[in-house]
This record gives sequence, structure tokens and C-alpha cells, in this order.
Amino acid sequence: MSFQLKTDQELVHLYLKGKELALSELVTRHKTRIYTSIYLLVKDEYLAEDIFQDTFIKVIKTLKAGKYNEEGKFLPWVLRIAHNLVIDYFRKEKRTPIISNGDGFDIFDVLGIYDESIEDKMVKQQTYQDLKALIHLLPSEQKEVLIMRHYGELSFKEIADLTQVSINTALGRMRYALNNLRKMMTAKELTLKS
Amino acid sequence: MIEISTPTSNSISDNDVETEQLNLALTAEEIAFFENLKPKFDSLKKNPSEKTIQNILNFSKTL
Repeated sequence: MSFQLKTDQELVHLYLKGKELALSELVTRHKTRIYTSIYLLVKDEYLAEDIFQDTFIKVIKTLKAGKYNEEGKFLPWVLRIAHNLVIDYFRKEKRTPIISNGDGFDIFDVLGIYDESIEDKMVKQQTYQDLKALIHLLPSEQKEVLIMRHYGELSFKEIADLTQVSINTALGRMRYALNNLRKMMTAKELTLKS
Repeated sequence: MIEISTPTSNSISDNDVETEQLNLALTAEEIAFFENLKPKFDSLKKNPSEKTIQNILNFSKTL
């Protein structure tokens, strides 16, 4: 049985019938979208790992309890759980997401670029750091829409539902996010090289 | 306060339609800027560790 050809809904059904590999496929299929969305919101790799894990533990418990509403799509549902866990974390910590240019060493930053020259590596790494820093400088509600749209691949309706605002507000935040990014790049005279 | 031109179509769940909505909300220059940024955004994509994924799959088997 090829799980890769199954829809999310089919995989959920198979998982509920005891096919553990169906869960494995769901995690593999969506891990980048979900983890990147969490990571860019919390800006901490270890915390993002914890929230990613907690998200899927909630997903598993809800599925096994038969409480999953099939009317919704799987990915937006999982991202909603992840989003709520991020909010819970910041509430518990009584702080807002960190807005800072400073970043610690990140092993992922230096992986996967072995075939490039040292100069190419440095340019790519600088581009990566510049863009990440600019995204983190955005107001949280703008950053949230940008991340959910691009990395989570959610529709604006889904983002609006998730953040409890109107679609026009979500669209407006996206526009503000893009314009603010452009202004910051201009102000810092940054060119994000490919 | 910004003014956003949004179609009144009720078909808002489709991503293509929503991309069109966003395009209507942005100027051509802003759209070009966004399109140029998209591949660069992709460079920020990350994955969780294999250990975390294994923890999740192991948890599932305990239920």
C-alpha cells in the first residue's frame, strides 16, 4: 500500500484503523510547513521542537478519541493547534515574541551547503540571517500572517479563522508585512541575493 | 487605514482565488517584490529532528 498517494483524509482513516505508517506519512508530508511556522514564531530551535512534538501529541490524542472533525482540512487544523500552543507558551512566559537581530549558532545554517565555495556559503548564510532578522523585526500580527501564508500555505480565510480577524484584516496585515519588509530592506540598504 | 479592493465573490476558500484577492490588494510593484521574495523565504524552511519525529511515532504506539 502506497501511503504517499493517499489524501490526508484517507491517511487519517487508515491511522484510525491501526495503520501507524499512515501517521508517519502525515508527519513527513507536513513536518516542514508546521515546524518552520513554529520556529519562525518562537525563534528558538529547541522550543520549536518541543512545540512541534506537543502539537502532534495533541493531534494523536484527538484523533484516537474520535474527536477530529473531518469537515476541516488536516493541515490547517494541525497549524491551529500549533498556533495555540505558541500563544500558550508566550502567555505562560508573560512575554511577547523576541524581536532581535541577535541569533545564536544554528547547526542548520551550516548544513547542506558543502558543495559551494566559501564565498558562496558566506553570501548565502548572510542572506539567510538578514532575511530571518527582517522577518523577526515585523510586528507579531504581520509576521504571523506572512508565516501562515507562505510556510503554512494556509488560505487567507483559514488565517482569518485562526487569528480571529476578518479576511480583509488578514490581507491588510500581509500587505503591511510586505511593505514593512521592503522599507526595512531599503533603510538598511539590504540586497537579498539569491 | 488602508483600503483593500476585495472581490465580493463567495468562493474564498480556493487558494488561486485568494491569490487573486491579494493581487488586487497590492500594487504591481508590491506583487513583484513579493514574487521576488518567495524563493528567498523558502531558504528559511527547516525540519524537526528525526528524534522528535520518532518520539511522536513512539507515543502513538503506546496508546
